[in-house]
Amino acid sequence: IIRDKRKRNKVPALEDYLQQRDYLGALTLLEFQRSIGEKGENADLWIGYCAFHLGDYKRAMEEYKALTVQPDCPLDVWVYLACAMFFLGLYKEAEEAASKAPVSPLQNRLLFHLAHKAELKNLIDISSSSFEFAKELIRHNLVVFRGGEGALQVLPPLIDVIPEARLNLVIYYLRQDDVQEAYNLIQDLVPTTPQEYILKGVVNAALGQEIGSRENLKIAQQFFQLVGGSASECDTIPGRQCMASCFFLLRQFEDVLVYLNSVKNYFFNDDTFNFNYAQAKAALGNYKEAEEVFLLIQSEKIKSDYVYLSWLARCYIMNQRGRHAWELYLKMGTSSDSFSLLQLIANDCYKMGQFYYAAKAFDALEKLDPGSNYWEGKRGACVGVFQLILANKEDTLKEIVPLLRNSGNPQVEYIIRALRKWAKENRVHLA
Amino acid sequence: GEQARKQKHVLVKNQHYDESMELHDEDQEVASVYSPPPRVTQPLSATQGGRVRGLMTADSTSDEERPQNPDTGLSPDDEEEESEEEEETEDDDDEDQPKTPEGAYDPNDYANLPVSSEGKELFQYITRYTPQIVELEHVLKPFIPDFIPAVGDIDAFLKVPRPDGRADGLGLLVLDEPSVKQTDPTVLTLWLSEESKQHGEIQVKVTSVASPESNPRLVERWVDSITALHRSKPPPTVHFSKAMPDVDTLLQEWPPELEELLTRVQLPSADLDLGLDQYVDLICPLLDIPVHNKQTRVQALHQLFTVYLEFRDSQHFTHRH
Repeated sequence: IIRDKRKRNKVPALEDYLQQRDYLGALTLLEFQRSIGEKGENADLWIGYCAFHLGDYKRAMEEYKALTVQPDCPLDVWVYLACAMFFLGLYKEAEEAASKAPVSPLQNRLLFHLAHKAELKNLIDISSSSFEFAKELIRHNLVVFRGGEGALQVLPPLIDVIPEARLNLVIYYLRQDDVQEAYNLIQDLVPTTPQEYILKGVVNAALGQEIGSRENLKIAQQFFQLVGGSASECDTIPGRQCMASCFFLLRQFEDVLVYLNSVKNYFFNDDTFNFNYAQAKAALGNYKEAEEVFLLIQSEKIKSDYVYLSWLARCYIMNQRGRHAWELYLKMGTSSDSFSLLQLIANDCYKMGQFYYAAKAFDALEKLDPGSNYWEGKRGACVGVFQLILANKEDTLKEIVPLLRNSGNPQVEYIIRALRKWAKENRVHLA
Repeated sequence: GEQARKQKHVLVKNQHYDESMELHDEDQEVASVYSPPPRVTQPLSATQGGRVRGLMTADSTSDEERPQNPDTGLSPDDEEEESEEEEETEDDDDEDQPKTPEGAYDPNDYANLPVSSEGKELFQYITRYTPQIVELEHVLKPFIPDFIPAVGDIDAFLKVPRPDGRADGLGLLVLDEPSVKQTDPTVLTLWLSEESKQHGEIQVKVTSVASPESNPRLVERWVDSITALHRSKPPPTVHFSKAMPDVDTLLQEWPPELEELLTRVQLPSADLDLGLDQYVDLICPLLDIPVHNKQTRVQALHQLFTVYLEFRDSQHFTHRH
């Protein structure tokens, strides 16, 4: 047994490590052999090779540099040195070193890449220790796959190192509703990929709506149209979303629906999708479906947004459910939004013949805004209730009298007298 | 332009109770310069109704009522627009604008109610008020894309070849990346020096784990590799300066007389009032391990513990207890 164990623990050959692409193991073995004077053939070149493929370009550069000063150095080492320098972002030095190497396919490729590299951020800072191969890439993608967790720690230093880092940081800010920060990051980016166009469109649309900038909205619409209309993206989900967004900004809701309908199967229970979809339906007067879709939305943030509340209230009223609209108002705190919602309820209910809630809304408006005259609307609504009672569609005459009394108009008594007279004739009890 | 807009307003005026329809977003501008007759519906101003809406389209300065089609860049023919407008009073199917909502109040539905002339007079109050159009804001909630994974740079095929000239196939047969499992250099170095009996001559790189409390896995891995290293090490050997009975001999049974004696007499315990050296000198010979002199005391002790370990690990022995 002991002999077996010994066998298993035999020193592995360099080749075993290389086959496993365990360059760190290979490097350690080579260094150990060098330190005890058991240097194999081309040991220094092997060390350079291992360091290079480990991604430790700095180490590789040092090895090759040391070789080049030796008198019997093979000329090819110059191109190896140049390769290491290239990956360190030392383009000028790489070109210099490459020029000392004999012509070879590798040298040719290197010079080609050098010609294409513009001034790039200094990569020395990011590729240092041997353990760090692709470390940044992994860290970056961890943020991606964890839905943005740690984005603010990881992504900022990677901007201009990993092209996606900037875009992901923008996405992160958008998700946090920090539109300004997202805009700052992307405003100078000249878009080249569909992803970049989409993101610039999204940021401009968000900012344009937030600050009321027509210019941003114009840019957003153009970018959306460019992506959505492109051959490569027109049949993708993001492409369809772009077209829908473009038409939404143009208020062409028929077209919005064409595009949203084409992808709606992919967005069941997606709050953002449903919010836009329901608005488009409501804009076209399809209040029943709009109400259904609005009610699918789960996000508390959207549900407390005035755009949501006002459109839902309108849907309720158009669908003859004025009471639900009134309850939305009751749940809101007093604000300019709740005042606007009252205006909506008063007038929409009036239009839809739901005079009871119209009267209540006018009454509330009267109290909140004594300077304005709501009498005409309130009077019509109260009489409307009376008409509905005569048509057996309403039975709330009792509540109408106090609502009328709240107004100081001289006509109040005349109307109440008429109501009382009718009540008496029809044996209806009126307090 | 002004003429056409006025005309449209007249048309609106003529409609019955479907006032909301014909006023496009653009007419918001009109409302401010054109004072409507009493029965004309007027959208609430931005401050009244809530917010500015239709930012994209509100800047149309011409008579184009509809925004341009982004596909064709063409705007609908103006003349056709006019005729459409005229027809709209009858045409309820026009999909461009929300039609009169189903179920809207219609006074004709109540024309035949049995009511006194006084009641009929009251009812006129209903139509005397025209509900205002409350414009609601549309807000696009932009579709924020998913986070985008990075795939890294495209392989530039700038690769240092193997010094022995053999093809390594990197980037062609296998991915040109180090494998995820890389050998820990410290552990390998320790192991190599052990194997090559180069103790002390090698400078072992000492690595450290930054913030071990947040990196327990790194610490565990280190402990595991070191444990594995020690397990693979041959047992330590001691060179005896003088002859020493070998372990197998020492493991042999004692003569029966001694066994018999031990059932009655205890071996001297560590409680004896003796120094450690003296105690070693006393115990080792009892177990047939010679202590030749002061210098070899450690060697004798080593042999004693070796015997002890053999006993401890012997199945035969442990089973008897």
